Amino acid sequence: MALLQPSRSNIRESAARQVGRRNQSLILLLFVSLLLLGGLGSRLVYLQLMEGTRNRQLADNNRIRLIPSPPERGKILDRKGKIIAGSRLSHSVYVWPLATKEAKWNHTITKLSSILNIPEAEIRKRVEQAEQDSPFLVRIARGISPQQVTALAEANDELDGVEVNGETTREYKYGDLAAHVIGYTGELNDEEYEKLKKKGYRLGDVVGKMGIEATYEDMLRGEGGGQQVEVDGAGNVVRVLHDKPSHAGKDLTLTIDLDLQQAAEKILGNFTGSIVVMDPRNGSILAMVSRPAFDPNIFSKRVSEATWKQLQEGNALLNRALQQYPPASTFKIVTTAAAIESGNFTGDEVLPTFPSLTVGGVTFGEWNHAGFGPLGFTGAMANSSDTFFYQVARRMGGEPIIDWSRRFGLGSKTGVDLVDEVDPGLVPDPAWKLKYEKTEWTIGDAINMSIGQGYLLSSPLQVAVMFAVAANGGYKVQPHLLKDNEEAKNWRESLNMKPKTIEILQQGLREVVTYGTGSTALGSSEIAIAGKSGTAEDFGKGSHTWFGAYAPADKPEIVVVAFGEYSGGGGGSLMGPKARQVLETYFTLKKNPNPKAGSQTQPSPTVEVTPEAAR
Amino acid sequence: MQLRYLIPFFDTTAKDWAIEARLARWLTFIWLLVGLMVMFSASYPAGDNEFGNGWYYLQRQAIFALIGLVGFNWIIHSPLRTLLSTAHWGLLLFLGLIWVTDLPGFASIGGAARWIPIGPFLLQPSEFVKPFLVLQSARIFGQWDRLTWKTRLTWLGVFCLVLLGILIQPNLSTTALCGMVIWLIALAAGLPWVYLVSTAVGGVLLATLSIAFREYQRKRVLSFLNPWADPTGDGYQLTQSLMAIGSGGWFGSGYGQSHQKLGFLPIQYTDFIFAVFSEEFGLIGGFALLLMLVGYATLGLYIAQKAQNIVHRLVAIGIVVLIVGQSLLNIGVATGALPTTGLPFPLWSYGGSSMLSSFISVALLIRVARENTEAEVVSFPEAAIPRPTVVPFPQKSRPNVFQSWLRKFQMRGDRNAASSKVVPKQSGKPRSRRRKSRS
Repeated sequence: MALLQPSRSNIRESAARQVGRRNQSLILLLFVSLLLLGGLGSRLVYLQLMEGTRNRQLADNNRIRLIPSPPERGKILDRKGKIIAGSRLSHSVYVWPLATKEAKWNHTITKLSSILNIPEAEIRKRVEQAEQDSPFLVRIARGISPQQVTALAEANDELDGVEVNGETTREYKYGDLAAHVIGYTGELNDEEYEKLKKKGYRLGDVVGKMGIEATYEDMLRGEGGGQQVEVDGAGNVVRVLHDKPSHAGKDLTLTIDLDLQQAAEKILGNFTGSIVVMDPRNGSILAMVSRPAFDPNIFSKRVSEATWKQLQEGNALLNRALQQYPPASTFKIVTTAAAIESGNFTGDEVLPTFPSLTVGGVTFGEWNHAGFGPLGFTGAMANSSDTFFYQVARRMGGEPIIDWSRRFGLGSKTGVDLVDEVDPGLVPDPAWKLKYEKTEWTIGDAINMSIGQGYLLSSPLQVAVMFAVAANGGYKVQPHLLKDNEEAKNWRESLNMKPKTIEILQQGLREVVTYGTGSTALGSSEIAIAGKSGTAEDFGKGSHTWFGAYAPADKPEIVVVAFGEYSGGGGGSLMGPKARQVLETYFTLKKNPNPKAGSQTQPSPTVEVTPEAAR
Repeated sequence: MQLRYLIPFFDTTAKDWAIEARLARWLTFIWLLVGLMVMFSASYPAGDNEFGNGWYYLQRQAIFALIGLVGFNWIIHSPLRTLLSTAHWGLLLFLGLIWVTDLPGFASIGGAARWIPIGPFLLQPSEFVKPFLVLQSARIFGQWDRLTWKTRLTWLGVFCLVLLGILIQPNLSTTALCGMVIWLIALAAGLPWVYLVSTAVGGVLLATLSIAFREYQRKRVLSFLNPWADPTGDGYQLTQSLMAIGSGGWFGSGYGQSHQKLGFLPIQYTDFIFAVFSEEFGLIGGFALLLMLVGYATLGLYIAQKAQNIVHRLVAIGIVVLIVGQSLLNIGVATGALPTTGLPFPLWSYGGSSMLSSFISVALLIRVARENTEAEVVSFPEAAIPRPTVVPFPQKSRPNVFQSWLRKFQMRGDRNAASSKVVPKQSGKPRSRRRKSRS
């Protein structure tokens, strides 16, 4: 270390320096301090004069505050103009953290917590979440009761920096009616906020979270306005600087018929499942039911842990019209079309049916374990004969079935205007099977697929589109919910089926009801109904049951698909009556458009069903 | 000394002081009063918010100021020699207290344990140690050539311990300030360049290491380079401070009219008091303050220049560096020219420790000014020199050395004023003595 061994010259130097250069150090110090002072002086000039305007503006952001007035959200109406989702004035509680006095903050929180019945920790979290220098208020509760408003007003002196402002709250007049279609609104969560920040959303803003509310968020939202005010340190408004009115969102008219929807909800009852009602001519959806349902109004307030858990447990938020299930025998529509269109069959063939059929060493059974004797295509459809279609599949192989499944719209999204449609379903093919099942495609797969089993998956809405093709004479339509969605309404795509194919499909579906598996449940109806049942076996949990129908058979204007998830039983017996009731309600409503409340559901004969009828 | 001297108002002796001492005194009073005024404005909203009493901070600050003034006067009326000869006890006491704050489990405020609670007050030993550090540095470096290596190294070791103790609190800015003060005193004392350069390099290295290893300091240091990168996080204090200063413009928003002090700018009445001052008084006010600092520095260095005794001169230099340097560093932090660190503005920032420490420092400067010219205060009381009373180091380093030095020094008294070139002749002796001590 240098300190330990000072060299001779060093000592001499230091000794010399001690006297001779005394004032040098002083001059040096003075010079340095002048340099520093000059530097700081120019820094001050830079900050206060050159950058002054910018800094002042930034500082102004601190004291100039926006009191946002959220726009009124657009209403959602049914096709006849009834308001399903509207807005109602309610009160929200805001805190401006910068204006709350630190010494009183704990007291304020305790008081707020007791009046609003919100845990203290949650209020704290809310306030901490907001950016510290944000000129905005932090909303800590909305939709509070009039009693709470009064209580807050009374405690006003103790609640510095707490404000109660009126604002509109989403109100769903009919509760859980069409809940899955309409969806619900709620405050932005953290992820959504990050995504929507750029669009001008702020923390605490209400946004559509599901269904129409989410799909058409941009139209419904409107444009927010607000007051720009100057505040003092206590958060009191000194003066209003700027006032910008808000513009309400756009009202949306849906294709949903509220009366029919109401009836369909009642008809499905407490079954877990779905009912889809669609106009086969243009794809407009008249009703879409999913059970279990939920009340979207609960999201307009703070959702408690218990409620949320309850909703999660029943998967109540799931729109089952868009979930994927094996379509079962309803799929025989596609198999029939594929058989004739592929040229393997003329449509006039008559094939024997058997108790079971063994192909490639695997035995495939007939559903009644007996067979029906020789059948043509329409008869096979009517009786839902499995062995008939096994033979069809055996002769033509899997390829036409796969091809025609896709043409009917299976395996891809229907494009319905609901953000909740995320799963395109599944049409298996050899490539898929090799990739995911690691085995080769066999004829057995084609045979399974011919009766809508195996890996095939489709949603009730896709099945409705499938029935619409048969009903409207061979056109794929675009299911949609917005009434003046001209594009969707006018869109239809011909599948280029031969008239013969369509004739056989329509005749077969009609025969299902006149003497086949649907006759017990639907045969007695005054309306000429055509349809097809389906029962998908799911080992262990009970079968999925289907009934798809349209009417009138000669000039169809309505398609109904009723579906029961893990309902057990058979499609014809369980879902057939429901489809019939919906159809009958539709025609009653058509005759009498303004029914009195409660009269929508026509009493329909309760039907004791035999196992045969179940198919 | 009469008791009434302890109260500035009743201290009538000032009119007999040297002009520099009186100027320094008045400058100090102006500094203090402006400081109290600014502190009042800056702290009013915070006091109102936290205690429902806007005067809260001013009242306490005023009490500290009064206590400080008593100490101030006591020092002004005490011979520097006495102060110097006891400085090491003060240094060692506060060194101990600094290390006490470093003990684990000590109450920490803002992530750093710098305070020792004494009753309702928080004692900040790192503030108090500053004037004692100046005194002791002046003693050591002023008599460097007369000291044995043992003494030199012992005290250099103590200085290092002080700096290290403050550094691990952690309080990088005070460490840096103290280090700079010691180093500049050494520089002024004419220590060999090799020592100075090597310690400077070592100090910079230590600071760099300290920053590199402490995330909190590293983030702070980095955030000052571009505070707008994270204006709500690490850059919050600085951006708010820049906004405050920037909105001052030419003339400021007027006394009491700062908006940034209303809960936007944190610690606005302590470390960032300059930002509030700047917002309220603008560029004109800022320049006036800088001018006052120039005046103070000039006056202080003039006093130093006039000092005949090298130790006194070094004390004066040390105090100027301490007071003016700390002020400049504080302004540098507030204006974003330096990394954001917690350094109070002397006599302005709220805080008893800082206030008392600043008073002690300023009083020392004035005392030096008085002893420069006032024959009757450059005194060994009653002119009796029964035994060596000057700078007995705790290690008992050779009383005879100092005795002889002392006598010479005393006899030189007035001669020195005429010609300071007498000194080099003396420098031979200490060298020979050192050789002896090595053998």
